[in-house]
Amino acid sequence: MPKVTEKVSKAAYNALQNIVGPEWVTDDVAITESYVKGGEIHDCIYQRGQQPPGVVVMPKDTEEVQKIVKVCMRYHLPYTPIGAFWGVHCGGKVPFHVSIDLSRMRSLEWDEKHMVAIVGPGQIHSPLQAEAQERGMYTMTPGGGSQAAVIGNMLTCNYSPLNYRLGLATRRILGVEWVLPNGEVIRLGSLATSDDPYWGEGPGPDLRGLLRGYLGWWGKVGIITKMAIKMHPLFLPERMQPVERGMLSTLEFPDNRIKWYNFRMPSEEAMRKAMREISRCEIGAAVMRVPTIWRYRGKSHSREDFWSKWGPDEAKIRSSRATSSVCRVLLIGYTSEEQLQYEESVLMDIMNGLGAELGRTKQSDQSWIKNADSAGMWWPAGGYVSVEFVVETLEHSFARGKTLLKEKESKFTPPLVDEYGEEGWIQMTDMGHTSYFEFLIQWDPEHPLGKYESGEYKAWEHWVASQRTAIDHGQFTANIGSLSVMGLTGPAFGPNYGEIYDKVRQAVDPLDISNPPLDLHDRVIDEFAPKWKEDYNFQTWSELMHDGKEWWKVLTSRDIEWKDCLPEWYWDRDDKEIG
Amino acid sequence: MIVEGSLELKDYMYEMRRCMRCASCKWLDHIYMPDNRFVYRCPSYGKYYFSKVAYGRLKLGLALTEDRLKDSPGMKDMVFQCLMCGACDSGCKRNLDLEINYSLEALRGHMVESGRYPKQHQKLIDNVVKSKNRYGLPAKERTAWKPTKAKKKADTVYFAGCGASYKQTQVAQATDKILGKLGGYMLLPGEQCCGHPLFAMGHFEAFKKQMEMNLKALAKTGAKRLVTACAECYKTWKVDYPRLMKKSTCDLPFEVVHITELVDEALGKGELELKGKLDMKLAWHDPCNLGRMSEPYTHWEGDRGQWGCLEPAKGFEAKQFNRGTAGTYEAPRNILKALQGVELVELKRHHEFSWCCGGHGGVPEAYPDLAAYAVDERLEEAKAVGAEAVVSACPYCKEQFEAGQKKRDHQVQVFDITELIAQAL
Repeated sequence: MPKVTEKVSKAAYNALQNIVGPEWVTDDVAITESYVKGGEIHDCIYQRGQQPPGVVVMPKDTEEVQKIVKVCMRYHLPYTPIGAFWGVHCGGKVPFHVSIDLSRMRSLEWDEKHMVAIVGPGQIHSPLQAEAQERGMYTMTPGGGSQAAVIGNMLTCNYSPLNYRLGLATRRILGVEWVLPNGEVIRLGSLATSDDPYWGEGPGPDLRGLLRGYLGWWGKVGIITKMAIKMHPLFLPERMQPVERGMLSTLEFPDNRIKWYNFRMPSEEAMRKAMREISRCEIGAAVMRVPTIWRYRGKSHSREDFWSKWGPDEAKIRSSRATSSVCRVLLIGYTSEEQLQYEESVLMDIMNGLGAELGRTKQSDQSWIKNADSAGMWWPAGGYVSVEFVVETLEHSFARGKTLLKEKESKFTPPLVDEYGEEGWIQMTDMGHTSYFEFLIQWDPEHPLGKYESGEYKAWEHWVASQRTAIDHGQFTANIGSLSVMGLTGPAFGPNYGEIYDKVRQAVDPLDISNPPLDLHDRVIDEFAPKWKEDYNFQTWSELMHDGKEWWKVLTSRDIEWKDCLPEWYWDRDDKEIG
Repeated sequence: MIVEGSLELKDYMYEMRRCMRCASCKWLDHIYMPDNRFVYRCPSYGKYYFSKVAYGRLKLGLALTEDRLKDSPGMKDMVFQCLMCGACDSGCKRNLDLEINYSLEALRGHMVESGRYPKQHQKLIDNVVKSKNRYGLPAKERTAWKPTKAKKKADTVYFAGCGASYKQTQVAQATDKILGKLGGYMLLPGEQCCGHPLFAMGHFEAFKKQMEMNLKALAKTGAKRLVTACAECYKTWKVDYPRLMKKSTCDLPFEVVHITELVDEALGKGELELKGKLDMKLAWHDPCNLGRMSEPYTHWEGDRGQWGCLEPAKGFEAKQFNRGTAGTYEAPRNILKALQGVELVELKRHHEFSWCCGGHGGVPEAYPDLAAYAVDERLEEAKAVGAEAVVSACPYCKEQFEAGQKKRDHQVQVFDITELIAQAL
């Protein structure tokens, strides 16, 4: 495999400058220094591996993106596309890479008749939601937050409680414009044959599966420059208005069409039954189990405020841990006030039958509709890491929460924040056909402990340990994708993911310059905690590459000419000379 | 030990390390996001992109403090292409409570200490230091606006500031009329620049000298109240002076009041009546230094304990965060609503989300392109909400709006609120 260029040469810089103009490219260290994430938030190992870019370039349109990646190909420059730079995995991981900052490509077009929005890669969620509501439509804001880029987020998680009613967000991806690592553009869905993005399906194989979801590529290969997203009809005759300000800002609900309910459940079994029954009756817009700590986050007005409430309540929370979780339900009268009344009566029947106690809740929305993860999420420790987030069955969610909690309580608390026995966040998706589960850990990044006792180290270790736990318990884990310690989960869950991934990547990105490298975790583990390999019984991905396993030979045979499988008209060829 | 409002960059290591680039300093509050046109809160980012916003500057500050970076051709621009308008600070305090304003001020001070600041700032610095006003004009011309109601001795001092004294003199004349109706006032003998431009540009030592001279002059008058119609002077007297003295605003031996607060109170008590009719659709522009930047300063000392919690030192109470929401927002709105015939509309970005007019932080001097962009954006907002006029409460905002108007086809009228009040008396 050719080696990627380690530094951006003057010739390459000039070529980039010729494409975008001198105003939109820089190698000034005062700027490149800031193209890494800070703090501690999800996927800390990715953060550890981050490197500032050698060059940042800001294209204005698809044509410039094509030209830029062709220059990168020509000069063997690894590059990392950036939408809003919200997820930590957005950051570049090799030195002197080219950061392709897509923030200028914040386009937003509408096909109101067919309820479709077409967004550019720099667009984020809150303007999309604001404009959608102005047009009598709405979409969903992901847990990741309104500041996440719509395209980047749709390609990765895009999970939200509203997925209960709207279905998993990745299924709402329609036509896509995709610049491959070699600079060629392909269009998926009906965009492949016309300028109409309405249909997600198009002629030939449906390549959307390569793009989306946590089993997809997490933006690894190429750059999506346009995406058409299915919208939904707005359920209210008027827009919800923002009230209050600062950290209290919220969207006020009208009292006749949309309403939150918080139920304290008498047992875990009652919680499970409630979630199943609500789905079976096909009512509700969102259904979730909320761990107690989230409620404290939600009602705190500062970090100090959070700890002043959470700390003293410890005994109370510990003693009621079996019943402390809240089942939070959002009902919407999509068609009428009568629908809300009907759904409320069904909900109350279910909950009364299970002995649930209805608590107070504020009838407004700080998250999910127009904002998310920006209200109190960081109060406890200034950051957090998801060590597991997975869409599976409801039973799996409950079981996975227990195994992860057991691991955390026995080995990692302290220094991780003690959540007093909470087993994670669970929300129903796809009207109850699936369930989303997330397990967060938090720690004090400034905790004055030695390297192997620090919160950061323990957070990473828990992240690795959670994958071992899944394998040992026969549980599915989201960490089999490109976020995983591949050497640990790959062999355990089968080689298919890696095989498909690598073969397609080889076909379109033989230099491995698009958002490299895959083996980040191996490098980090080798450098930071080689003992984990023994503790958690795995080889690194790169070690597996050389151990003669049959599947790895297949994986590395590079004998598939994937591109040749497609008819020539499928490709939008652009072989123009650059600069 | 954390000392609130320190001017040393190294004292903001926590802020610089803990910034996670969540971009709340860049985007408008998402709950209030109006549409796809007016999405940013930071003019610097809106104009230049890349990472010319608080998260980028904090990362640079961290690299400088950790001695990983020395200099670069673009470093000065990265630091000083910023209006110091405080919009980023209120955004961060939605999520993380990091002291962004303080960090950015300290970063400027750090750059200035090593002589790395735009050369275009020098004239402004020299003007204030030598001529005691930002224009370098003779001191004797400071009252050329002809105060008619000023007394030799009064409990209220009117601090006109450089802008109203030399350029936007109609603001000083209107304030003179208003204060005349409210019991009279005296001018600060030998008034000179409050020092605001020096502070905003990072020249803290020169600023301290201005501060000391002004405080001495005010102490000599024995006045209990200082009134100003300039948002920059207001912030300087109310927030920056006590901060540098390690005192809280409430512990100052005098009260600092903006003319809008005084008029609003008088209207509420029935001591003032606004007459006449102004049939006009007005948009109120919240000046940064009247709103989010001018919450009362509360001095605090303490330490950061476990989980990053702030623990007060002996003699101090729990830290009061200034999050931008408790500035002077309602007083001017109440006044405008009291004007007969006025239809008051909100601009797209208002209160602590207000978009800066561009006239601040040494930007008009060093980066006129950014100043012009900022004001054009604001005037575009006025157009979007159908306003016939934009009203503000700061001579520098008015100056900016007037300059911005000249380059636009779509015209709106521009007023300082004092002009409208004086007209209605």
